[in-house]
Amino acid sequence: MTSFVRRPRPDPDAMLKNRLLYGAYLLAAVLFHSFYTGWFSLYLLVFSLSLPAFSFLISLPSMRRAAYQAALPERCTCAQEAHYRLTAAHRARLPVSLCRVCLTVTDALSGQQTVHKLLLGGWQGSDFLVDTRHAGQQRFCLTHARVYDALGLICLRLPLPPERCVFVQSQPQPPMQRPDLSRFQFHSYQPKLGGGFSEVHELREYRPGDALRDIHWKLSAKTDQLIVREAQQPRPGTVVLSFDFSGSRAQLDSTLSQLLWLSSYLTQRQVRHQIDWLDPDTLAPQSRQIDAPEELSALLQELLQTHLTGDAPSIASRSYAGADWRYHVRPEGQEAAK
Amino acid sequence: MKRTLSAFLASCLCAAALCLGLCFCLVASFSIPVDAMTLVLGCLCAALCASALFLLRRYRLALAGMLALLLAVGGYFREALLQSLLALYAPVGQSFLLAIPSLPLPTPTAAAGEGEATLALLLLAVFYALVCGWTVQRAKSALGLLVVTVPVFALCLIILQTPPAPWASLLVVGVLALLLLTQLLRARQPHAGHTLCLQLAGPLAVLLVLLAVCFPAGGYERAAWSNALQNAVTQTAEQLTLFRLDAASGQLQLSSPFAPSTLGSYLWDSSVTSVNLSRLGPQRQLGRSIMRVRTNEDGPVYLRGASMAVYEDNHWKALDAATYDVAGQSRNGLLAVEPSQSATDAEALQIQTDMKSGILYTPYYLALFPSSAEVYYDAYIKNPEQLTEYSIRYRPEQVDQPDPAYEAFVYTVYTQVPEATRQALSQLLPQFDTPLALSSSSAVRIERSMQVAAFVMQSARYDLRTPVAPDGEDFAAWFLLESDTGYCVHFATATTLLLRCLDIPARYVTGYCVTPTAGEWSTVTSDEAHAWVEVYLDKVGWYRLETTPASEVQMQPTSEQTPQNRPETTQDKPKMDEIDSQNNQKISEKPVVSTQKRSIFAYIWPVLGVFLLLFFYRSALFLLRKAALRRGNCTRRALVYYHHAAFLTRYTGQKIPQSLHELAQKARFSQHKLTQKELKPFLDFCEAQTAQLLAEKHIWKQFLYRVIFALG
Repeated sequence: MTSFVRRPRPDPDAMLKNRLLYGAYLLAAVLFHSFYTGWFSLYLLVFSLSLPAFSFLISLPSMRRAAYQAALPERCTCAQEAHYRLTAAHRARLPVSLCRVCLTVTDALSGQQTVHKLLLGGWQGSDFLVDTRHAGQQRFCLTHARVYDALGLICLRLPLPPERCVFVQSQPQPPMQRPDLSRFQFHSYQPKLGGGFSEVHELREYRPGDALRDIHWKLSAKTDQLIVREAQQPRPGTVVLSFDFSGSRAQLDSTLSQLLWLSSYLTQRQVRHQIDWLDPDTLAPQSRQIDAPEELSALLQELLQTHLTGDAPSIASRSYAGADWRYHVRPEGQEAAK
Repeated sequence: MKRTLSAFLASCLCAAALCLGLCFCLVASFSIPVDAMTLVLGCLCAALCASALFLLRRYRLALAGMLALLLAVGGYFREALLQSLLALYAPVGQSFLLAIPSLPLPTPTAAAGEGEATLALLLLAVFYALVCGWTVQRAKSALGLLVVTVPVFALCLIILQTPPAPWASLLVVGVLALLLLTQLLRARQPHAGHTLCLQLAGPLAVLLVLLAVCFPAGGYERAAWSNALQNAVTQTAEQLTLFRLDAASGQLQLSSPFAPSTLGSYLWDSSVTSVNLSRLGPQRQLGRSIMRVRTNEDGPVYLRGASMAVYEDNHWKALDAATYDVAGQSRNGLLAVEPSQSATDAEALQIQTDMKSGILYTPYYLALFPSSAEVYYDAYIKNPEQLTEYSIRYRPEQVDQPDPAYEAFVYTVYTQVPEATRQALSQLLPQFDTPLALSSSSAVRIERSMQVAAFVMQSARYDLRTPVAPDGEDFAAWFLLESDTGYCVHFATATTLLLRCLDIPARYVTGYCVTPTAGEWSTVTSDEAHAWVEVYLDKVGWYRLETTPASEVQMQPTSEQTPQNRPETTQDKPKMDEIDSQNNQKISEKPVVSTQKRSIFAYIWPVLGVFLLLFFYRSALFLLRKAALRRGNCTRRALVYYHHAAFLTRYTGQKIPQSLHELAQKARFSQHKLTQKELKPFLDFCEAQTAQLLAEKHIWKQFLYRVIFALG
């Protein structure tokens, strides 16, 4: 389907119909007065002329005190119901006759903007269902807000609530073919920082500065050399997760779901890992080290605000020589990494 | 509960005010006999019932029950209801018949006006209470109420002399304004609209009263700027007139419905049978085009309409046909002695009227007139086919042949004056010596007539702003004895009656006094309407006497008068051969091509009309399609969407995706019924195409798509 960007259009003449009708009515009153010589024609003409001023003056307090509040959850997951609620918070006794607001919903990933023109009267509010079919950030911005008098002829600016954003996140989903997750447990051993005891240790000659308690006295006596017992600890390998920030929204949803699951799995096991991808705009490689869930969350927020071009090259072919374990996340339907 | 209460109160307030306003507008305008207290209580009850009725969830059922009850009650009291309806009609019909006698209304009987119209007005109040209650509580627009209110209100306003009571008018205006002010809100949040309605009622009432105090009804005088505005509007409308009468072909007879020249022209016919002098008040210079005239000679021409013979109750009335029949007189003093079909030696005059009329406006002494026209005794020329374009030939002078029978008729009928008027004028008569004997010569009668005319002209100043004669006063006596000002009707009436008091046969004549340019079409406006006097002279016939001081042709008897009896003050007209030689363009029976260029404004209407037609056609088409897109099952809707997509892609230049083609074929030919999910691509595609059409376009293109293609 053809995608398009619907730009918000300034619409100063939302009440054009009312103004035209009033103009026609005034013209009729003038003509009536021209051809009808009775008192009533003059009265009607004067009344017609004074009616907009009366309407404006009587509506002015409520127009000045009209306000709206907006409410939106900060985040939600795909397929979860979420609402953008606009509620009236007028502070006047007289009800507001009519407010016109343009609500612009911007999807950061696709860049698509949808403009909803809202006509609200009295204490009427509005409730918008957030589109949670796909992951992404959605911004709800109110623009071109006007409050009208009782006849709908004269308008004033309406104070607006600030822009609100909601992050629609993917649900973590394991890959269809799970990779061998045991291989990145440890790759080799390395000296334990600060020394101490360890079941796994290496023996080496004494070096000045070594602690006396680390000297293997029995072996030293046998070899007539000072031999030191150096405590070892497992050294985790370099774990790399890569993915392509491209394709359709459904493909990206699938990719992010798997990425989230894998990264969470590693984080829960305190495996420090690296997530790599290509920036869709600059095609420069991007990399983030993930140690904690907060870092994963921050990365996701950053990703969900990035514009999706859809045709960026894949990072799957990139080699990671130093990586001990690497997995390229692919959306469902594509061939899994061997 | 609170919402229900506000709806009920708002509805009650509006319905009660509207019912009271409309009923008392009628009562005050036409002096309808009613029991005021019963009417007020009835209006309030109707408003309460109607408001309560529309609060019910099943209000339609209750409404049907109420109407059935009303019908039953009406049937039971049908005699009283009929009497009440007749009592309502009697004053209304009488007022309209007095103002516009040509209206095809049955004349109310005297017995009908004796009863009270309370019951009939209560029925009217129930109707308006129901409509108002429905508008406030159920309808989103006040247009329906406006549409049903205007006719009754206009009924009271049509006749200037019977204006509705100002307070009743203000009530009606106030209710309509209140509903307009709350309409925006009621359409979106009815209970808030009702609250606003109640809160605005007070301030709006203050505004209405304040304006009524600043611009009081009593002593209202129309401002000069209003007349100037009217003239400006009239002239502009004349320029915008779409079709004018083409003098060449005579085929373009449709004129713009907004042209003031077409307004009020039917009022001509009212002058045929009567003129109500008691309602004649200040006159305005309207400048409305009435007709166009073309003659062979320059100078003033009196286009005679009809003459009135009977003066009674401040009315000039035409003689009944029965009077002529009884008298056995059918002789017409307006025609030439021997009217003939050739009459080539007579002077020619062509007339084109804007509207149809029952009479012909003609100069004196007709030699040739349309064959379809009929002479109505000596009063006027009937126009049974209502010709709007006709040619006339007339003779400038005539020697009447004595007709003793007709003279006897004239001296019997045209010298009658009501006794009260005669007594009122008697104090003025001594200055004209003794009444003349029947054997007096025409010259002496003319001299006496001139004396009377001079006296009348000096008795008052010409002023179109002369007020209405006070109630109960005789029109002529009031003018001659009390008023300082008057216009043609006053002068002509007074002269006629004074002459009759002196036993000189005279009659009141209406028509137009025009001054055309030879060989050119001259427009005759309503400002040139005139009234004058005709005096009967033995062996001469009817002699036109001008008695209005403002007229340019004061005191000049018509040039068509007989030479031997013509007073010395008259002027001879040029002879026919001289006129013919001066005018190269001979006037034929058929009108001549008008060389008047049409204003550019005249072309605006067709262009505007074509645009409007196109817009309405497209709008209707698009509305129907939008309705079809919403209704039916998914398979049917998919097909409609497919057609709509094809329509849109013609303008976007894109192709309908193959998947949609396949889906459409599936919907058309397969037994499979499409689901909502399968319909969605159609919807998305059409939305995308519409948005693409409307986005990123120049303003004029957006306008084109929005207005002509009605896309949004």
